[in-house]
Amino acid sequence: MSLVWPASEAAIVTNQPRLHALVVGVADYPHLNGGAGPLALDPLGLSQISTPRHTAPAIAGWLLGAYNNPACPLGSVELLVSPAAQLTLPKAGTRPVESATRARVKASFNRWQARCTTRSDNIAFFYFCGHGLEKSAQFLLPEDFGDPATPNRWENCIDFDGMRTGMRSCAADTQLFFVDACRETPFGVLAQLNVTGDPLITATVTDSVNCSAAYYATTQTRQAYGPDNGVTYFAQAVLSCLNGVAGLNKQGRWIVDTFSLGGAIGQVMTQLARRYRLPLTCNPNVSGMGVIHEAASPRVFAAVGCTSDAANNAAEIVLSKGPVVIRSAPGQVKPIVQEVDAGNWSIDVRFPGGQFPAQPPQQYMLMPPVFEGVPVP
Amino acid sequence: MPIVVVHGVNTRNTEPGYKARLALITSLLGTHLAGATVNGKAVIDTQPDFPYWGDFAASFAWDMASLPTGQIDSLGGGVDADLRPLVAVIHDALGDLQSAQAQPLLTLARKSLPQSVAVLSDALIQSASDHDADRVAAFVASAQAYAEANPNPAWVATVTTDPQFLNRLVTEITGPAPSGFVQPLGAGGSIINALSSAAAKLKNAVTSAANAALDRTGDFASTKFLAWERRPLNGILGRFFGDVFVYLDTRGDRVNPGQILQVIMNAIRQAAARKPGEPLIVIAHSLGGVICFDLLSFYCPDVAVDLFVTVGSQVSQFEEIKRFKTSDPAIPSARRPRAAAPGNIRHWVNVFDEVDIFAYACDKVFDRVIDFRYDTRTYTIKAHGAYLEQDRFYSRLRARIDQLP
Amino acid sequence: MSSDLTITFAPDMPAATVEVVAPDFQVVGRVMLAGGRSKVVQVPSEATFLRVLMPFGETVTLQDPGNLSRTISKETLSSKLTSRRPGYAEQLESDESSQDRSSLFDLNRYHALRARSLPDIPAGSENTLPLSTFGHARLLSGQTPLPGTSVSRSREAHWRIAGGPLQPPLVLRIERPQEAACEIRIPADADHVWARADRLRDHDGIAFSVRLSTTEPAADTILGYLQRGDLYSAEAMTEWIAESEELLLYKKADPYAAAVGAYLLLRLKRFANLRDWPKNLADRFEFLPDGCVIWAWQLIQQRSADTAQIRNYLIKATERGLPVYAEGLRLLIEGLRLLGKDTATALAGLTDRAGVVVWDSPLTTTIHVAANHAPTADRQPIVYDVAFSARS
Repeated sequence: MSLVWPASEAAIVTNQPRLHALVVGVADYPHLNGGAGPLALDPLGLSQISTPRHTAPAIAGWLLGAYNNPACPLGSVELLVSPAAQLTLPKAGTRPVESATRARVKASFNRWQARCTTRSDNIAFFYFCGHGLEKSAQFLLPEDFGDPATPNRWENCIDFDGMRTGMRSCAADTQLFFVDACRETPFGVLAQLNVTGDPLITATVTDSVNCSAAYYATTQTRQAYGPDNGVTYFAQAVLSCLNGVAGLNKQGRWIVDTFSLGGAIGQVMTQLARRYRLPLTCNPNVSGMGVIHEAASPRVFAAVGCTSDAANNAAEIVLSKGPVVIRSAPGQVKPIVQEVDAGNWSIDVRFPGGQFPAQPPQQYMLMPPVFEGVPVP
Repeated sequence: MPIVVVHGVNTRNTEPGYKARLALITSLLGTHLAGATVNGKAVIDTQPDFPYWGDFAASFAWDMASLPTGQIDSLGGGVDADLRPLVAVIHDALGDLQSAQAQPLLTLARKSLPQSVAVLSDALIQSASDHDADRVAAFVASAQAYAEANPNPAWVATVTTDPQFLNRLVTEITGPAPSGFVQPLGAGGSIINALSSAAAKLKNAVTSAANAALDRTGDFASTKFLAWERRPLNGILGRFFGDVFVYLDTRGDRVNPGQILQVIMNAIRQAAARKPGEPLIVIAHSLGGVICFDLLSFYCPDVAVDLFVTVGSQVSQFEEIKRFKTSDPAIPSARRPRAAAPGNIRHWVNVFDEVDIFAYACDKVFDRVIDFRYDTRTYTIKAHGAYLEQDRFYSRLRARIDQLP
Repeated sequence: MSSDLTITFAPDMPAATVEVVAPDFQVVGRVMLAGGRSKVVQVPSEATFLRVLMPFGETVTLQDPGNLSRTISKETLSSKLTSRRPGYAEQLESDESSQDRSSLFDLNRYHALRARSLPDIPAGSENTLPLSTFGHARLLSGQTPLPGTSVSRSREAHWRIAGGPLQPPLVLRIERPQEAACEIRIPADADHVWARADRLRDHDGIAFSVRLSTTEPAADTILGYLQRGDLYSAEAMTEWIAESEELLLYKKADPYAAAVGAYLLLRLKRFANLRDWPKNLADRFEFLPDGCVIWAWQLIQQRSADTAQIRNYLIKATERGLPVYAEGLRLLIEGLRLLGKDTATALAGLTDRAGVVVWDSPLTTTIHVAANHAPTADRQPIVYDVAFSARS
């Protein structure tokens, strides 16, 4: 069963505003390179990956354990992960999670959409992590993409842009989409005419949605990345932002909304790109303002380094606030990129070798989302 | 270090794939020559120099319009000139094109994986732009090594399309990804894109040619394909004569050596000076071998070369017609049956493929040279250029080097 | 106990959004300011500080507790901007060979720095300009190339444009021999366009970065905020639109800047502010597809029953060519999709013409593959980085 929480369909609250989630992570692709099943007629250079099997549970886990929106609490979580596995999640306990074949994704989608459409003050939450392609639209690939037994090989892929447009026909007025997949066009797709996927749902001109926010892990022609056997960088950025980096103080509460999330993820990804030396980007497409989550406290993604490589190599940088001290010795990777509490921090840049003039420690106000500094030397 | 690779005829640095070929040679030298010992000195730095003398070579006022073309081109239709020899190879290997037009590379691979890899590598190198050179070279080197080790792998029978074949080949060659590194959620920058495109072009070429030949009789069509193989051969012959005449005309004397000699001489002298503790190795292809022999015997006899490798070269031919500066018309004689290899060359290995019409054996003409037959296992006109782009050539060469006294 | 805080921008400051932040990080005001202007904001405490969201992406925090009259100039900001340090620009300028490598971050800073001090570049004379060894660029008005200048050791091309905004959009073509060509639509109200090619340090990619500025810097700033997903800052700029829209549409006649303003209002659903300007934009300026797209979408968002009019304007947009702004292309595709089978042919034609689209660029950026295309064997795809280099 793809519903991981609550325990049964009957237990789902539909007469009050709720956030209903559909989270899909595909790491195993039997018909692509290195897969266990019959090879696709054109595998497009795609092979097995591992980060989605960690990313999807991490997102589902956050929703179940940390999501906090008093006006719209968590209502349900559909989760599909390939390969199928036994997972332990907050609130849901240990349970088997099914794999994300196209048929299951479609069925899950239909159930999810039906729950979302019960009330206009519901929030629809969709997260996909796995292989992605782009031609005229963004395509998301479920587990059985490329099955040589399917005559039309594009039948087994999801037309995400079509789906997002189609979701206008869903009554939920706040819709959040996270696309954690590449948007490349391999030669096999470029050379192909008539690339169409299944949008899963359609809408007409008379349908509308108040707030539709899509956050793409990358931009056209680029790749999304994740560390082997870890959560993708995009997911790390999303979770960081939800947990306070994208927080705005609204009457003493730290609110993450669609506007603040869009601005923050992009800035966090830029800093992660510097830290991991990868071409990470995020492409937010937000229309309409909707409140997502209330974070416990404000957090800041601090990126602290000097203004030249030479100074970075020679510098010892120390950030401190109260008992918390973060240090980076000369020669260690700079800028220091770390998520910290917001507030007043002391930043001390020293050059033990004397290569640059000494500076006294300075106080800096670190406010969400990102702090980039320092103008030294 | 001192490895200097001197090119032969027909080499122009404006040709597509020039950089990729150099990158391939560099990669293969690195793989096979590192750690070899010559004259008690170890080879450590395998980064070669490639003195380029193509600009001083023959130029053709009418751009070789004198080559007869006749009806050869009419069969061409939509087939790119660069691809014709490859299409001809496929035709030769399989006997006809119709059966191969759906999946040409796979059909060829079912017969012989090394042949399919050779055709694929050629197509890839030809279309490699300068900044791709290293990647393409690395892939070609690994692909050749894989095909050498697995000439008929079982998996070839399980794939049914060219894209499947290519994807599987890449997976087999690159192996499983090492853990702990960053993975992209997409095609991952694999060489697949370039391969797919080269394969698609080849498939179009094969299909065009196959369909064009359909309304002609079998014999006629195969003669035309032979012509496709021959035309580049005529081209090489023309350039060969041209370059020989230009060289002989312009080589000058010791006081004023010609430009071709100067370029090569400077490269060799600089290489010699750079790492005195490592052996100086000069690898010279085709006419480059002839020029280097002249250079080392007459123009700079002071430069000590630890290992001289002539590849597909005509050194003995030139000596037979006594065209070297140091050629002695009194040799051969009863007392001296062979000409002397220059004293400043410590070891000399001469490599030739019997299929290569431009390559000559040396050990009947010179003393102190080791002849080494090498089978490029490829078609006639390709043989002359193939040696230095084959993984097997370098592994065999290394084996010879290891046996040197 | 609240007080009045006066914020003034010195005359040399560009238009930008300023956040007024209380010590507990609550944003008590978000205002747009431009050179020479002042605003008064009620603040809860004298320890309130300011955050200036610079158009090129850097945010500067200005703390001056006790001072209730703050003047912000380029000078007050420069000591705080990390990007002002010449390190980046000098590095890029002094690179000897095209093989020297940068990162996207450094390139962004370089462009920001260069925008700040607009160098005196002589008028151009070349039609096809090299972008290092990686390709070449042409700026076309219809079929006619506009002359430009090659700078930075042939790595960068610059054009100064003087045609005026009442013209069809220009197209910047970046060609990589034997590979793909990239076309970027350029609004005709642009006055400077730069295009540059660099090798990336990590993962060996090539970055083509394009920057442009127009005669309406406030519009450039809005697009910058939208590109970075900073909708709050963009929202603060609607004040500029209220002042300028009429001017742009009628008196100064800059339909491009007018379109930018209209796009923002559309996204924020400020239909009262939009009025029927988009219809005028669509009807009066036939070389601009964007007006048709905006008007059709205003009708859609306002739940108009006039499906025929919506359809007509969307089809009209497709007939006029690709929209200049990426937002327009996105809306056009979505609109045609919503109209279902009725417009399926038009949609297919549009996506065919568009080819591969670079969505994170604010301007419609499409990649076209040549017939003799031999795709790169590079691990790292080519990066096209397009943005507005609002003068700052």
